[in-house]
Amino acid sequence: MTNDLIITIRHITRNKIYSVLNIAGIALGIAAFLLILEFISTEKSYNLFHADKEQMYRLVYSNPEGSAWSEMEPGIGPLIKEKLPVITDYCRYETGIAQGVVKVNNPAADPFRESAIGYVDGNFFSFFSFPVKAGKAAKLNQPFTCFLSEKAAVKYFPNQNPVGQTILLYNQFGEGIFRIAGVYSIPDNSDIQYDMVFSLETLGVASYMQGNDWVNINNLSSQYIQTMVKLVPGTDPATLEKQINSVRQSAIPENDGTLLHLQPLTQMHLTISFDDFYPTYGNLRYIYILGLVALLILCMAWFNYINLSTAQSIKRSHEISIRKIIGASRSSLVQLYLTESIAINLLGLFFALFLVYLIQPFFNTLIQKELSLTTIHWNTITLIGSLIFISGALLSGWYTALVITRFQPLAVIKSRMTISGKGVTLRKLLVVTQFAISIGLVLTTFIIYKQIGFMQKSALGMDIEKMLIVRGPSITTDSSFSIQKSGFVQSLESNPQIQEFTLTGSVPGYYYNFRTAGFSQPGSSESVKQKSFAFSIIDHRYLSTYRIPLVAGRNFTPAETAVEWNKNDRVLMNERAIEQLGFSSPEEALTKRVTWDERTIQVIGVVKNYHHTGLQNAIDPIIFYPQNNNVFYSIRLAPGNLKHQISLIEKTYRESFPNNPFEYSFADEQFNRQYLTETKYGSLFTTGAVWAILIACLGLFGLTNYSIQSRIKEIGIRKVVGASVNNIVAMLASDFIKLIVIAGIIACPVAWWAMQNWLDNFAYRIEISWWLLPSAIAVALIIAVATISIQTIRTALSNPVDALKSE
Amino acid sequence: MIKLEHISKWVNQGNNRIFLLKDINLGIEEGEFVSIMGPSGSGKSTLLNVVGMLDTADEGSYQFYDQPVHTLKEKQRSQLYKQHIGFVFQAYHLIDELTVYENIETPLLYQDTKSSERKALVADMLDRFNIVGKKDLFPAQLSGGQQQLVGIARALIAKPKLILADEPTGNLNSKQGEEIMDIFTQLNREDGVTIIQVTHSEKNAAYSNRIIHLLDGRIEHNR
Repeated sequence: MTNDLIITIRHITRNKIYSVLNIAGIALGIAAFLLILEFISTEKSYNLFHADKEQMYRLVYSNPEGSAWSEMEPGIGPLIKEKLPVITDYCRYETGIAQGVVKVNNPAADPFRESAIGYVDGNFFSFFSFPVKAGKAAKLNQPFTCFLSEKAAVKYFPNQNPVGQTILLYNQFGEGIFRIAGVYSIPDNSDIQYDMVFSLETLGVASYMQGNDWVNINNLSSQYIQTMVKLVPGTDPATLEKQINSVRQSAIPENDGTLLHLQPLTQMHLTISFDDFYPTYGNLRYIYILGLVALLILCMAWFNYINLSTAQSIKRSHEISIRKIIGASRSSLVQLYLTESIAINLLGLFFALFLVYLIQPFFNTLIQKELSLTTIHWNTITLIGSLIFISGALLSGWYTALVITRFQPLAVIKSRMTISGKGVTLRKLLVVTQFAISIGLVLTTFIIYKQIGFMQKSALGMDIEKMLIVRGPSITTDSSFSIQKSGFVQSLESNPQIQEFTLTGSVPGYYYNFRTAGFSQPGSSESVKQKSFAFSIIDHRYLSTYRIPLVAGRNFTPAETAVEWNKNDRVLMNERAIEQLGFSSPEEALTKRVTWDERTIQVIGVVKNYHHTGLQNAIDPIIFYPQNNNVFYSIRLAPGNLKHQISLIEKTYRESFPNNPFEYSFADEQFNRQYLTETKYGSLFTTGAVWAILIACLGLFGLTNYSIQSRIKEIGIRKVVGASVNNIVAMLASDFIKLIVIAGIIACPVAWWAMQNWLDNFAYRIEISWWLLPSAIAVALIIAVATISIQTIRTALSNPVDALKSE
Repeated sequence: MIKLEHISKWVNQGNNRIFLLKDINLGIEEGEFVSIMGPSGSGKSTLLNVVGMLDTADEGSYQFYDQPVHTLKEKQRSQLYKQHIGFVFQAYHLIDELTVYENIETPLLYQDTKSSERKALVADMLDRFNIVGKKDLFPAQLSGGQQQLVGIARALIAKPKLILADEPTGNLNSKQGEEIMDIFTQLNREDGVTIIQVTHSEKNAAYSNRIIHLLDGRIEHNR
């Protein structure tokens, strides 16, 4: 054994090129594998730290159309707990309605906009297992109390004890003063992430609700809160689901086919299969794609090892023959080569760890998580990963050993036999596989970026260039607010740097104010009432500011935007909405009344279709509702110095709305942010493709080296009989070019098919141009030729006499 | 045709300079049949390689058909020898993966000869050496003598003015050797091809009309 080790070390140090190529290939493979293992094992560890995780279920709604959502009526939780004793407890928490601006209760403090905040039930900290670092968990039971995360505590109260202090929360309910009852921490691998939590009981205080009846914490009509339940151990969830639904049915008699389901907490991050309809925080598809990429890359690394080692066996056949003749058994030889393979894999692992350390920051940006080798969770995924690694290392070593030790000793010594034909075929097959993977990844990357480019460059039907979007003020309790607001609007009007502006409740790229159904017109069928429409709250300046044309009728007047919400009966609709309502033409819509539940509304104008959301989605039917809303100020700037323009607006904003944070973005950037997922896929596949090509090229480099060595005599002869350097290079390269073209022919249809499927997710998509396929092959070819060129040119230039005189 | 003046070639081993060729002065006229003799390591093959432009000297001048070879670039040199010189080796140096026909054809491929012309030229050559029936065989299927015939056929296919042969009969039995030497003589007399051969055998050297003796990289006799 020690003897084997010594020989291994000698072999590795003597054959430097092969050793470096081998170890580098394996290190690259393992590094990619480790990075992805970090990610997948973390994804699989989500939410598993809760003590009663096996008994915890989230309530989820589904409707007959196949949608599923987890927001529900706050009254559901108390109702089912009361009626069904197997439900031992419930906890409600919401993730949207509390958003606003938070400020320490002290005139000098800075305000911050907070989005990861919410109202939660008083038992939040006993129901879940989030550690409370300071204060008493039970205190959250009281109205106007809140808990801060450690991060928020440091942000608002640096070097102070926050417990007992008060903060101000400004949101849709106006101003609230909350006493901080404690500090908690939430692990990174939790889907429930709050920077601060406010007691849900607060929403039971009439003076705080300010007439927002929909938010009543026991109501059974507005769906806005997440509800998690705990069951008696051993309860059958399927039976309980039926009982829950019948309880709900008796309390909410509406029969619209909506059903409640119990989603296990353990499946809240990732579903078990693609068929599951539950809404999740993670993305199972992403996990599968990443896992596949990791495996492919690791396999490529081992293919490299097999390739390079068997190629090298030509050199070693003499050594092996002599060993056999002096009495080595085959098993002892296999053991020798296995030792070598393990040594190479371990060295690869060592360098891989180093590589991971170097690449980690880049990878973390890509994946948008804070991962490191220490965050690998020891769960089944990690176990499977380790098993794959160990068995792959052994298998590749064992196979290589078998091939190398197969020679008949005398044949080798007598005739200086070259490697068997079977080995050559195998190596070609492995090279083809490696390049097929690389080309497939390259083509995938091409198509992803083509689609992203297409979405970013398509005409949107509106103009968002040089458009600044400023968040409206949230701290609006001051009695002089309406004066402040009109003052700011006037300053915008008189600012020569501003071409146009509009005040709205939603802006393109930022979804809608809400969606609702229940619309019909005299000529429409009954089913139209079930169809949902998007609602966007705008003022009279919206269409002209965004340069969206009307196809019929007229725009809102300033007076119409001042009408109270419930008294207004005039709306604009886009062409798509008119169509969905069953009008034959925009003109027809102007003449008929539309019923909205018990109200009647009049379409006064029809807006030309434009892309309010990204091109992944079809254009929604939109109803535009006139209001003097205050959420977004969209400001179109005149040509000029951007920095100066913004600082001018900031100055007047701060003067007009003291205590409010000034936050802005650009409409085009905001809009393109919708393509973040696609961009993420794009960078991921770019990385994967580069990685794969790198490994494939390492292998190609080694194989060229081998091919040159075994053909050195032939090359010499050819040069002597008149072959030029170009002839020789072309001859050597043509073998590999053939293989790469074959790889391309195999890979392209597969990638093409997969990407057709991916593109089907987009309402507006590219058609895959035929020339992308040869381009992907060309990329692989160019890189491959560059890889082999140095060696082949050097060989072709070398003096043929040297090659021939070795006889 | 060939004029070597003060040709030297050496390798450095540590601080010592070992001469492979030292101050060689040699002229060879078109139509000559020259043998180079000498003990192992005397520089015969090196001299042949320099003449064949496969190797360059470190010092001295080399005129081939009044062209200063020592000043030419690699590409021009290879152009020159491709046109004028054919090589024959002791170990035949045929390409194992190619058939007899393809081996003979190879030089033409590198001279961009047309396909129809190549066919005619190779057919002539097969005919001339009586190996038409072997044209589809691979080198490993031939005897040594037959392999060397193929080697000579390949050297002649591009109609060179000069044949350089490095111990062409070294691996052959005496009867096969005689055959090869007869072919050389015939080539020299009837086609006017200049031949330079390296040989150990006095008997083979007798076929030529001039013998150059080398010793330790110098010309000892030139008669």
